[in-house]
This record gives sequence, C-alpha cells and structure tokens, in this order.
Amino acid sequence: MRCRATWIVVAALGLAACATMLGTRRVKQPGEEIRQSHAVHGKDLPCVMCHEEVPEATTVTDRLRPPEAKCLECHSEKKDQNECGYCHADPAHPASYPRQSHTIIISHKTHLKLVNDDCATCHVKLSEYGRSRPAPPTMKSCTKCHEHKVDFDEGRCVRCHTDLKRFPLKPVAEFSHAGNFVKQHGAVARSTADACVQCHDQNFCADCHAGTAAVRVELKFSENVTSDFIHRGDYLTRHSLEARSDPALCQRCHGTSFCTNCHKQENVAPGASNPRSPHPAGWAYPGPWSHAVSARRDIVNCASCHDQGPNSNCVGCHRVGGIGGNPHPMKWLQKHTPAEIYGTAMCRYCHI
Amino acid sequence: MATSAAGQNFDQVLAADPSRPAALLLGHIGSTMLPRRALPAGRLVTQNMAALLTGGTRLVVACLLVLVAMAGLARAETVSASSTTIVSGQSDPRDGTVHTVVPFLELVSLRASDVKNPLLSDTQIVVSGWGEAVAGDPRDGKSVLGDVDVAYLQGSTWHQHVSLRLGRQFVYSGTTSNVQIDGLAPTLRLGAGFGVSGFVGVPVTPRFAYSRGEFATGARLFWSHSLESEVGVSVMEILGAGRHVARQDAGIDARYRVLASLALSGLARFSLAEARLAEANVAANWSPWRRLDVTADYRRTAPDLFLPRYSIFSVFAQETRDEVGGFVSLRPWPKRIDLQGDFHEVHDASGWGWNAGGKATLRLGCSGGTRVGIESRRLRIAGNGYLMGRAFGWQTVTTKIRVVADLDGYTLDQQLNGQNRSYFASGSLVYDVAPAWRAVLTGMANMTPYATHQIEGLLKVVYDGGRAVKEVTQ
Repeated sequence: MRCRATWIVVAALGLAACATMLGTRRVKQPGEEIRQSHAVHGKDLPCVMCHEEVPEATTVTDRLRPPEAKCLECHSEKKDQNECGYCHADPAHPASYPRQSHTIIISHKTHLKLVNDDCATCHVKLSEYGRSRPAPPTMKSCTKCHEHKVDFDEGRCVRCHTDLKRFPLKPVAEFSHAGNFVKQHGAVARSTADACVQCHDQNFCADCHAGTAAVRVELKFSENVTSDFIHRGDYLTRHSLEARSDPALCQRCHGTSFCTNCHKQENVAPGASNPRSPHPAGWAYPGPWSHAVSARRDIVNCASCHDQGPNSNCVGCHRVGGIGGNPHPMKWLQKHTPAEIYGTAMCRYCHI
Repeated sequence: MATSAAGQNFDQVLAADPSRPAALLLGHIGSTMLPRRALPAGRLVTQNMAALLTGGTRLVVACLLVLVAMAGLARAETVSASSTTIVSGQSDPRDGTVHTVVPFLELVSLRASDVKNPLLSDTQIVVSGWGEAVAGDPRDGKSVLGDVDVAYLQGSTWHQHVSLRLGRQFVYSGTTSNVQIDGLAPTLRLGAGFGVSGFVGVPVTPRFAYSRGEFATGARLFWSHSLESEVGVSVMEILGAGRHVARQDAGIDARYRVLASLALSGLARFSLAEARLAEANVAANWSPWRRLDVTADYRRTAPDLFLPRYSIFSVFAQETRDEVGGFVSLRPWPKRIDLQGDFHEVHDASGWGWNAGGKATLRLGCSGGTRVGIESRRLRIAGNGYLMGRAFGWQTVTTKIRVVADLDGYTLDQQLNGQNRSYFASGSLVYDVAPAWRAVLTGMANMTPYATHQIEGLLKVVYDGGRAVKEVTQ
C-alpha cells in the first residue's frame, strides 16, 4: 500500500507539473477576438450605450464589456444571415471575449461621478481590434488624482493593486534586499510580515524553511553563486563547529533527531548497527577532556546523538546514587523544589 | 513513503481506532486549559497528531489530487506555476563505504488566484510539493519519496478586516519564529492599525526527524504604524505527546522605521515553562546613503531552551550565549562593485570567540556579463575554528548561455579524521532555453576530511512562469 501510494504521489506531481505548465501558458483561444472598433463606435455613440453596466460597476470583475445581446441590438441581421465573421475573428470557433484577470481595485461607479461621466479622463487610449496589446488606463491616469507616494511609502499596495505577486510589478529598489538582508529578514518577517506578503507567497519561504523540503536550497539553485546560502560548499566538515558556535541557530530548523539519524548512519551514535565512540580518550572521567565540561557548555551537541530519554547513557551514571553525581547546574534547587520530583515523570527516572 | 512525518503509523493507528484523530484533537484543545507536567524523560514520539493528520499516506495523496485538480483549473483561473526537475548522481560516503545515489526529483509550485467563491474575497490557493525516485543506495533506505511543503487556501472577508489561511503553512509572526503547521491562521484587523492574529494546528514533522509536537497554538496582538513599523505582543504553546509542554513562550517584538534611513528591530522571547529569557535580540539598520548599509546587533540565546522541555537534556545545562557585532555593506559603484563585511564577538560558557567575514563582488563588461567575487570567513570558538576562502564567478557567453564557477576551501584549527583541509569546487552551464525555461548542468567535486574525493553531477530543468520582475517606483 505504502509503495503504491508513493508512486501515485510521484506520478501526480509529474502530471501536475505538465498540466500547470500547459495551463499557465494561457494564450488567446481561437475565436476570442471580436472585430470591434472603438474608433468607429465611439464616434457617434456614448460609451454607456454599449457598456451600460459600467456606471453601476463597483469592481473590475463586474461585467464591463457588452454581452452579445447588446451587439445584436444593432447587428442582429448579421447573425440572422450567419455572417459570424462580421464580428468574430474566427467564425469557425466563435467565442466571447477572453477572460481577463483583474489587476486593480477600482469602482467605476464612484469614479464616474468624480469625472462627471467623462470616461476619457482615464481611458485616454482605447483598444482596437488588430492592435497587439489592450489599452487600459496607465498608472499615470490614477496618479493624476491619487497621491501615490503616501501609499507607496506605507506599502499599502492592496488599496488599489489586487496584489503584487502575480504581476511583475515590484518596488525592488525601495524595499531593498541588499546588504545584510538575508540575516535580517527573519526580524522583518517576524514583526512586519505584511511587507513580505505584498510580493512573496509562502512557497517562496518554503525553498529554504520547509522542514519537508526535498533538497538543500544550495543544490536547488546551484548556479546562484552570489547568494548567501548557509550550507554552501562542504558544510558537512564545518557543521559541528557551526553548531557549537551557535546551537540555537541549528535548533531553530533542525531538531536533535535530525542529527541523530545521520550520526546513526555514520555509526557514531547509540542505536547504530555498529556503533563506535567518536569521543577522545578520558572522555568519561574528570579532566580537561571530560564530557562534563562539554555537556555543561553545549548540551545541544550531546543531544544530537544521545537524546534517547531514559535510555540515554547519562541516566545510568547520574541517577541518584549513581557514580556520576548530581548533574544539575548551580541554583537548580532554587527554582525546582524537591516536591516537584514526585509530580514530574522525567525527574523520577533518576530520583527513584 | 511521505517523509513529512512520522506518519508511518497512520494506517495502523487509524485501523485500530478510527476515532483517535478526533479524540486527540479535542483532547489537546481541552488540555490547553489544564496544568502541565513534563513528559517521561525523552519519550520518543512516533505516533502523534502530526502523524495522524499530516504524515499519513492518505493525506498526502489527497493533497496531490487537489494539486492535480488545481492544475486542471489553470485555464479557468489565474495560475502562476514553477516546476523544477532535477536529476543528479552522487557518491555518498558513509562510515568508510562509498555508496552511489541517483535521485530524480520533481518540484512543483502553484499559485491560483481569482478563485471565485461566495465566502471569501481575494481567495488564493498556494501549493508547493515534490516527489522523488531514488536509484542506487539512498541514505535513509527509501527509494520513493514525496511530500507537500506548503498547501493552503487564503482569503479575506468583511472588507479585508478578517483574513484566513487554512492548510499547511508557515507561522512566523512574533515569538512563533517560523513554525510549519497544518492548521488555521486567522487575522482580525480592528482598525487604527490594531489587530489580532492567531494560529492553531499541528506542527509539521520535518524530514529525517521526529515529531515537533502534537498541537500548537498562539496569538499576537499588534499595532501597525506602517508597513515597516509594527509592534506586537504574543504568546505561543506547543504540546508534545500527552499534553506535555514542548514550548511555551511569551514575548514582545517590534520593528520601527524611526527615520527614512534608520530602522530598529527587536525581540524578547520569554520561556514561560522555565521562567527565563529564551531569546532576545535588538538590531539597528542604518542606510545613510543608498550605497551604504550598516547594521549593529546584539543577540542573547539560551540554547538549551531550544530543546523540547521534555528532553532529558533540558535538566543538564543552563546556558546563555551572547553575540554582539555589526555588518557593513558598501556599493561604491552601484551594479559594479559590492563590498560586505561583518564581525561578531561571541561569549558563552566556554569563553569568548568571534566570527568575521568579508565578501567582494565585481561586475565587469558593458552589461555586467562577467561577475567575479571573493569571500573569506574566520570562525574562532573555544578550542576550535576554521578559516574559509572562496572565489566565484560567472561569464555570460551568449544572451542565453552562461558558465558559473565556485571554489572554496577550509582550514580547520583542529584536525578532523586526521585532516584539517577541505576543498570544494563546482561548475555550472546555464542555458535559458526559452522564456521561463532554463536548463542547468552542474558538476561538483570535493576533497574533505570525510571523503578523499567525492563527485556529483546534476541536471536541472526549470520552468518558472513568474520569474519576470518589472520595477515600479513612486
């Protein structure tokens, strides 16, 4: 069951990869072109004659383009005569206007009042059939009235922009990621996460931070030699030094069991198939190389191999009456009363 | 199969007691109101909510079916996607024996927006997952793997005053400091910059590791002055098996842009279970000039508090570690020369140490088609340390092709396996096949204290539909 399901996972991912690549390459489908000219229609007709729902539209997801019925009010004879090509660019596959994603938040209802129903205030240039690009109002139209600087400074992009993630619009220079940003980004995300989510989804975070990640980010982006990756190059050799230098930094992402699993593979941890001690001579006894010094200084390092709970070899010697003596740090009793022993199962492993 | 999780017992547990997941969840919610006690020392959690809810075969398969379904929606909704295919071959020395491993990896990331529904506005679905088939002799003995990194649905309601995120996600605000959970994270914006955010769920068990807990919850009250200035107070708790506290923290965090060129940030995280400071840091970022960034920071941690409270090792050490230093980044000739340097003095129970590094990057050619850089770092801790030197660069051959090289070496203060030198080299050929498509061929070789020599080859094909970035300014 497990193996079969796993293959399903892999197959599904492959299928998803193919499907999404095809799906996202959204191109205009045959028939999604309407032969329509604003130059011709707009000469004699007011905009709302065709776009009659616009004056009441509060979002751009509302129906802003005229439906076929509106066209047929004047051109019904063409449909009766089956002259589909009169309007449809591809009469063999007649279709409606292509679906468009909206990128801004705007209420036509509100704005039309402000411009005295003069659409041309914002719509300076209108789309024409055959023109390669649509001609929506540019941001200059907005900033003629709206003070963009204030919103920009405060990062309130979503007041107008649906978001900055889907579209290639990013204030890269303003929200600079230069300098020490790799080390500082945690503090930014911790307190001002709203700034991050303007441009980044969590799948961006997952590249480095997902505990479930498949591959080290250094391998995933092996060509990015200028990036400040943590585990670059031969990290294996220096990992013990880095861990000793800043154990909390490792623990933040990797639990001690992460260490244990690998150390078992290397046969240097209890529980391995053929374990051998990596410790220097004299490790078990008092002296300059005693484990006691290292344990007090860097218990996380010990835990990377020996965190087996009551089976940890420390319990054998350090339990009450054992040869190892009291392992607690100074002032322990000031914070932990003897009565605690009887209510805490962990204490009872040593305090029998 | 799925590696998230210590989910190996999902089927057995569910078969034995189908009601157990619900019972556990209700039990944990209720348990947050009860007094805590420590878990029997070091009990390894192999059967838990994380396993039941996140690691099970069925859930992963279900998530991937959703992912496939979303792919089908790509024509109907706005979808951005990236896909990375990696095939590599590597020699993997383990305890004196060289094993060969050939992983085939497929990573998919999707974002669907404009998902119409009657309940939420700005609805988005974000999924990131991977599947891997490994030929040869994989380290953990598993030849087929797969997992979901992120899979959540997000939306807002009540005129964006309430936002919700449901699914596998990261929670990083306040004292939580980046916990990956399967759960719900709502945010309520009260007005005048005030708001409350929270989360409840099951911590995701990392690969190659045991459970991080069975239940996590937390809340943060914040006041936001602007996008770059916010203050918050927060509490969070993670429970291990049997209602035992793994983490129980309260804290205050802040980031404030005092001046256009000066931002201050800080965090104080207090362990409620131990009644002492687990972590504190303050930093000042000063950019007096667009070409200069200066950071001064201080950090105190109690590393033993990063162990679960139910670990037997938590009774041995009572340690503090202090680090103070700074960072300077200077771009005297923007887009041409980039200089960085940092120095931190470290003090812990073993004494003083320090960590310092520098990096210089230079772009040459009329379009910056050649880039070279050097980097060095020195770590000095009690009784040990290393000196690292690195050189890297890339050369644009044509508009679509570039070659990349990276060399680094270490000298260790103390020998490791009788060696104190380590060398690593890599080279990549990058080919931008078509818009949004890239192929990368990388070769790596190293000579380290762990292996006399090791060679790895990697072929990567990337599709990234959202790579283009267009700058917008004021």
